[in-house]
Amino acid sequence: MEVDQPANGTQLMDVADVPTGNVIDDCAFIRDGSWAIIQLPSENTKLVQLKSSINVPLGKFGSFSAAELMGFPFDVPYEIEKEGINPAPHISSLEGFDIDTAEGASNKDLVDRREAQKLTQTDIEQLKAESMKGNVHSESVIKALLENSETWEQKTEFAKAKYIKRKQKKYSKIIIPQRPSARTLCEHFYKENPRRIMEMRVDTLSLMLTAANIHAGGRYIVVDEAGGLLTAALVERMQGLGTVFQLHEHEQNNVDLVKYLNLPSSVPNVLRKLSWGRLQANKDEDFENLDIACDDEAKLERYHARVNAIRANRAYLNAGGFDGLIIASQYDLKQVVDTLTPFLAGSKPIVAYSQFKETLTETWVHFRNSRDFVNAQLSEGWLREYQVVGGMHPMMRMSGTGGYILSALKVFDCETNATFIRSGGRGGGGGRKKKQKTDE
Amino acid sequence: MQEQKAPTLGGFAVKGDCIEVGDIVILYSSPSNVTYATITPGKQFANNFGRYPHDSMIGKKWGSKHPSATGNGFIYLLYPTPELWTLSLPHRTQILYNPDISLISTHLDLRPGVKMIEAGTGSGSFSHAIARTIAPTGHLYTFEFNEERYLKAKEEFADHGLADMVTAEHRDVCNNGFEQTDLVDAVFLDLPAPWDALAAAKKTFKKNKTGKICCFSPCAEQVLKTTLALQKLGFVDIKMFEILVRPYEVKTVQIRSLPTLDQANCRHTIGRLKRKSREEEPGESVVELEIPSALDSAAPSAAPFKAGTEEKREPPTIMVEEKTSAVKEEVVAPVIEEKEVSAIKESEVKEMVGLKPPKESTGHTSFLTFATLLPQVFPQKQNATA
Repeated sequence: MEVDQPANGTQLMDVADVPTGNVIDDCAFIRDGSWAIIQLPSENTKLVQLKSSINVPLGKFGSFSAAELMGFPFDVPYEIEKEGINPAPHISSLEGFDIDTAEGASNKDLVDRREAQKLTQTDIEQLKAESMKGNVHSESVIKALLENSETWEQKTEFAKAKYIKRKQKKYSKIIIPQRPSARTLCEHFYKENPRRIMEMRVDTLSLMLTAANIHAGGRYIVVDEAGGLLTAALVERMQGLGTVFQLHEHEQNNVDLVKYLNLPSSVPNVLRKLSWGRLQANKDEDFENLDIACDDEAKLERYHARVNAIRANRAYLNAGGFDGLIIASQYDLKQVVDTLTPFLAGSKPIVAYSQFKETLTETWVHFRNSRDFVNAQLSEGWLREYQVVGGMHPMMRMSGTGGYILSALKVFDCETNATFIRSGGRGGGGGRKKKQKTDE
Repeated sequence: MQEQKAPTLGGFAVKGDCIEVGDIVILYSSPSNVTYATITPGKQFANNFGRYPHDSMIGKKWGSKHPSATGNGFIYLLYPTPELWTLSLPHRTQILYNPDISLISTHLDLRPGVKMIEAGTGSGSFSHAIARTIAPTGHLYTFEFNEERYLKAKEEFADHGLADMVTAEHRDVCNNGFEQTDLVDAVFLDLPAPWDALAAAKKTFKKNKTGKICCFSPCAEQVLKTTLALQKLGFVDIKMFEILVRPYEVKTVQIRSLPTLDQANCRHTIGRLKRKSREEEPGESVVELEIPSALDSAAPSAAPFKAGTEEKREPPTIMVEEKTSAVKEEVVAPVIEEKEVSAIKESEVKEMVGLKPPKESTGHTSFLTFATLLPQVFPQKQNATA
């Protein structure tokens, strides 16, 4: 079997399918059952599970057999070709195209009309069909298009590069299977299904992780209605050390996004959970005193195990001393904060997210007025991406908002003369003045 | 095992739930006044409101409000985190702040186990955040070409219990490169001329997987030069960002409703009264005009009168300056009708919480240029179809 030629200047080695024991290295390679976020030439992304038995369909960009990627690294461009899928140059590369320009090229005399392209629609359709079958390389399709363009030579270097990029998005078959991480999952859902993650942008997520001082070995309470994104981000930053305690709705907690992280089974599970409805013992937990008519021993055992797990998790929460509280929830934020802050140790952060700053306002005023919190801040992330390759300018489209963050630190109040003087400072001072005047 | 409290990792050498000798404590007076102290018996901290002996802090719980020796001032004793450290650390250089630190950490895919290079170390603001995020199995190699800054940073890392996972080195990486090869997952360059270090940085990356690099530059010219160098060296997916955090202020805003005819009439009458008293009795002594008590509660239309009001319960009066030499004549007070008074009383003022960005806030410090390095060693493709 011939050896496929990988990207320029790379060497070959044996397929890295033996785990090294280092999670960072092991996660970098695709294995049977790995989840991947496939970045298409159109820049859309698709979340898929790569099982060696399946063929992954990618619409107009063709399809590929997942088995061919086993043992190969994530985050690398691969091209779908007739014989299979192979490592390829990065899509941003314009290698293979001549974009040198005659001096003085400009769009001064450019007349933009359909006739500028000498290939007929039928010709183009035929090329597309051949490219789809894998008989014609996408690069050849693009070359045919630009060679038959009357305006090509008049274009500036920048315009040529832009033209090729636009055609690449349409005709190229280079895909990048991205390693799912909190970042790539956030970017994927922000683009494809923003409501699922409460429209949380990646810079906002990043700010929350640092504001909450997330680190391995920490113990955090998380209220995550952002599709499990916060939970996944915490799990990723902890890699098996510490605790992520989820307070969740209904009976099931949301761990979907954790599953996509491809964490090896050797990484211990840090998740614990408790439903909001079980902060206090429910009637159905009192099985010692309940008359349960059930002959099925196994079923009864499962029931006991479930109740015991709930009790253990509740006891764990009640023991308190947590290192942070991180919230993205539709519930009344002040209630959530009031309910969970007692479980935090002193000086630990509370970080809450919302798409609407108004839903954070009441709690912010509470943080400011209460003596149990300091350093209350409400802020909004602002992110601008610039194009830098081929001239620096801001991107045409920028995200309008990534959401708002409210944060504060829990403190323990005590009485000092200072509090008396300070609170009396305004009222008390005024009072003396008043007295002087009324005495007159 | 999970029931035990996990040890503090990658953080500061903090021992327990209460403050002990040798702990680093963040001394928080206000959001803009944050400093730190290493608890040493006999030492004390002092600010405008008083002095705070270290001995009095020992045994206090983290997060305690702490009175000064006289009790006239107070501070909060906070647990050291990289974020609070960034607010309190001694600046030896321009430092990285939390918005940049957050975005870079995410884009470089930092998490426990990552091996990383940072150049230069500067004041160590980012180093602490990196160490926190890649602990306990990761490692940071940080380089500083200024010897004094290097020595200070090295000492800090040791004091903060980070010596095992942070290797600080005095080195000019632009001229002398790095000794590390095929070792790291990420590189961060905060240098005046990052393009001079890029070729050397490329060699430090693990060869079999993708690596991430970030260059931090304040000037657009630096960004362009860096971008060209990155392209030439084969880095791909070059992206550049500017990140800001926009803080908001909260204010209670009063929303007044438009005046009704009766309210307007009442105000005109009061205005006439005031003018009349000024014209007819231009003296320096004070004439008190009796205003119906109902007007007092009707803020803010009655606010001008409240200024002269001493006690809320007493009937409000208007103070008018009076010149002594003036001829005194009887003031003929225009009549304020009862319905006008009640109209003023009913005038509605809504209160709501308003949010706005402050007039001035911190802008961004630098542009963040990110790029990806594809694997340089590639798996040999197995015959998957066979």
